[in-house]
Amino acid sequence: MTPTQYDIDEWAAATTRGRHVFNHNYRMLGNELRGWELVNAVTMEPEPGVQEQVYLWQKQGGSGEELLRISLVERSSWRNAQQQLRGQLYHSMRADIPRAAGKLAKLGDVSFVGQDPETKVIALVTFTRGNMYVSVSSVGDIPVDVSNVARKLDRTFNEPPKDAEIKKGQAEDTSPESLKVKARESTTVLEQLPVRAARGGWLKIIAPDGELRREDDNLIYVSSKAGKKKIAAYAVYH
Amino acid sequence: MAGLSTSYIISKLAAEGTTTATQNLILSFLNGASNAAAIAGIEPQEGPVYADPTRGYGDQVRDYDIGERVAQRIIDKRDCLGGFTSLTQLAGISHFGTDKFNDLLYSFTQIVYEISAVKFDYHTGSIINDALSIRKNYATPAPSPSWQKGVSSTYTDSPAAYAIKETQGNTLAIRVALKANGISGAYVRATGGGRLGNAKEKFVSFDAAGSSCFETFELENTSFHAYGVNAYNMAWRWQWRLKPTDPWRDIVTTRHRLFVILEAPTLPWVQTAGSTALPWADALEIACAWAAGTTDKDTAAGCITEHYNDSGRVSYDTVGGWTYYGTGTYNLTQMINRLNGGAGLGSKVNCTDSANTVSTFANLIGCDLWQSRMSRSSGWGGFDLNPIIAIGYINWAIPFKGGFSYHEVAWKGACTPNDRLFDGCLKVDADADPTCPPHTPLLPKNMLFGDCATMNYRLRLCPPTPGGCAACQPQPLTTRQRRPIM
Repeated sequence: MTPTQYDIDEWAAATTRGRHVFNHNYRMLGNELRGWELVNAVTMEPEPGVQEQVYLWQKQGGSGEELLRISLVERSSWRNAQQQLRGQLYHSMRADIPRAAGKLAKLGDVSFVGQDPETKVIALVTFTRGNMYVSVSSVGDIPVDVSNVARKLDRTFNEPPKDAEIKKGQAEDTSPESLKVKARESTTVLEQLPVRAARGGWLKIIAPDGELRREDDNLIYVSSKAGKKKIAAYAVYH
Repeated sequence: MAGLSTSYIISKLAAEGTTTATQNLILSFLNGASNAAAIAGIEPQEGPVYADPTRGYGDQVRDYDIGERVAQRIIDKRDCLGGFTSLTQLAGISHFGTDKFNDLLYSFTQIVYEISAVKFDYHTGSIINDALSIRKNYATPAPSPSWQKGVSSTYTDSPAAYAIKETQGNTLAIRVALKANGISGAYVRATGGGRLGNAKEKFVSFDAAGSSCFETFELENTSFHAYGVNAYNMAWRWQWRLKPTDPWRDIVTTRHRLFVILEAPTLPWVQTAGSTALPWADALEIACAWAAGTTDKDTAAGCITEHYNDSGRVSYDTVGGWTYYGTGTYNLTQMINRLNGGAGLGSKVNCTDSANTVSTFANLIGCDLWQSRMSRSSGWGGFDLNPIIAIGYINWAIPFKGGFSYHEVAWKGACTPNDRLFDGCLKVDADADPTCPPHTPLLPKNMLFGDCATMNYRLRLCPPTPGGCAACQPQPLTTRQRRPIM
């Protein structure tokens, strides 16, 4: 059986920004969501060799029935992230999880949402941004709207750090010198990604065009246009 | 009475030839006593200090050993000193006279004084005479040996699991390491043991250092086989005597947590040494409680299905029917946390989570279930449903405006239409027409999947339409599995 409900080719055709955004080694530490307390952090294995970071957040001052579950999977490319999303959708018993619409339509490269049938709040948002697969769900007995948290995560992965964050030392601009690339040829942007990440924080790389992907421990860039490219790279510290 | 003098104690120890080992045992005993009763025992019965029958009055009536008042004085002096470092510090304790000092020396000069360790699982690779190999949970091995002096205190500190089928009719045994002072051998037994039985008396030899080997003790009066799956707290009162005609003297009471399952666990559980999939005591606590008293696999799996569905700790994800506890590897650790009152990964589950939970707990106690799906065999769109009651809910509803993209259950055998299943995720309608009210809730337990002609699981779940029953087809070739656990 090859289900075709979720058209990954259509997703790919509509993906622009995410092709040249890459994040590595992002972890939630507990200070990311104001008003929420991180109560559990677990590494899961949705398929062999793939790690899923799952975070459970509980509303501060609540009864413990308002829970958020955030699931993050870092894949080697935006295409793999979208395959991850499709795989997760196929593990949903609901056949027709709708595409995000309205204000949420701009979320991620491709995004889907689910409403609580009784309260109509957005209780599930799942999307990809670049090489990151993200799922945010309300998993407590009291449904909570997860859309703002999803937007925040999208900004986290999609936007460069603010100047103020760099000045405060919360992020560091580690961009390499401009790269001269040939059209459609692979160029190594960064080597030893895990070694760089081991220095602390997570790595965020944003290219002006083209595609970023990881091969072994290196970050590779390919563009259809030759020339000098300014690729922004940041180490972001919480 | 002013008590003994220091010089008397010194000369007495010399005259008796009391060894340093004996003196250290006495000091350890007195310094380790938590209160007076720990020294005196519960009077008028004998405590850990015995009256020397060859000294004093010799009639064991007026020849009482150390009583609570004197014991309290000993403790007061010990606490004042910050602990005894020499037996001469027993000098000057009121009413602690020559007879009581004799008793102290007598009690420790020749003694089996320690159960060092108890092994239940001593025969790796076989479970017909001993316990299964287990661990505490995914992250933590079980203690090995199961019971260890100075380590094990509560019942749960010392877990053991036995399989009814494999041990039926066999003599069970444990292995025990002991320590003694001043003797080369003694008779040892353990009374109590509940349904695991008592440890039969046997003669144990000690080396020059006072240590025994791991001695095999046969268990007798084992009776757990008749009571099915269960979890027990049990204790053994260990005793020794020098000669077969001597009265028994207490060594220690050991406490243990005993799990009884139907037969050897099936996958994902294994009996491979060191594996994280050795049966977990934390999971046995739940599975044995849920299936308590059951003596066959179908009833046991049914009880597990029922308890899971009725746990009140999880409810169906009516937003997306999302899998939260693992699609590749099942996160049993977090499900146990959730079922035990923790947050786990949240309260929402779907059919995959439920099939994982039911089959994994059931297989732990010897059932033989699979996780397997039903869906359309081609195309997309899922299949239509009759009204159901999803786990955690009380109302009849048809989720997702009509149907499931797939459904997953704990399934027996080849997971075909001719095989039976257990569905902890939902209740179907038990009456003759599940498509219409009134509805009678029925949790599918050992229910035949069936076809679209006879009223079995398939027709109770789905209406008799092309988009319902006909589209709901078992998919064992591509989905039948037992997910690994973490």
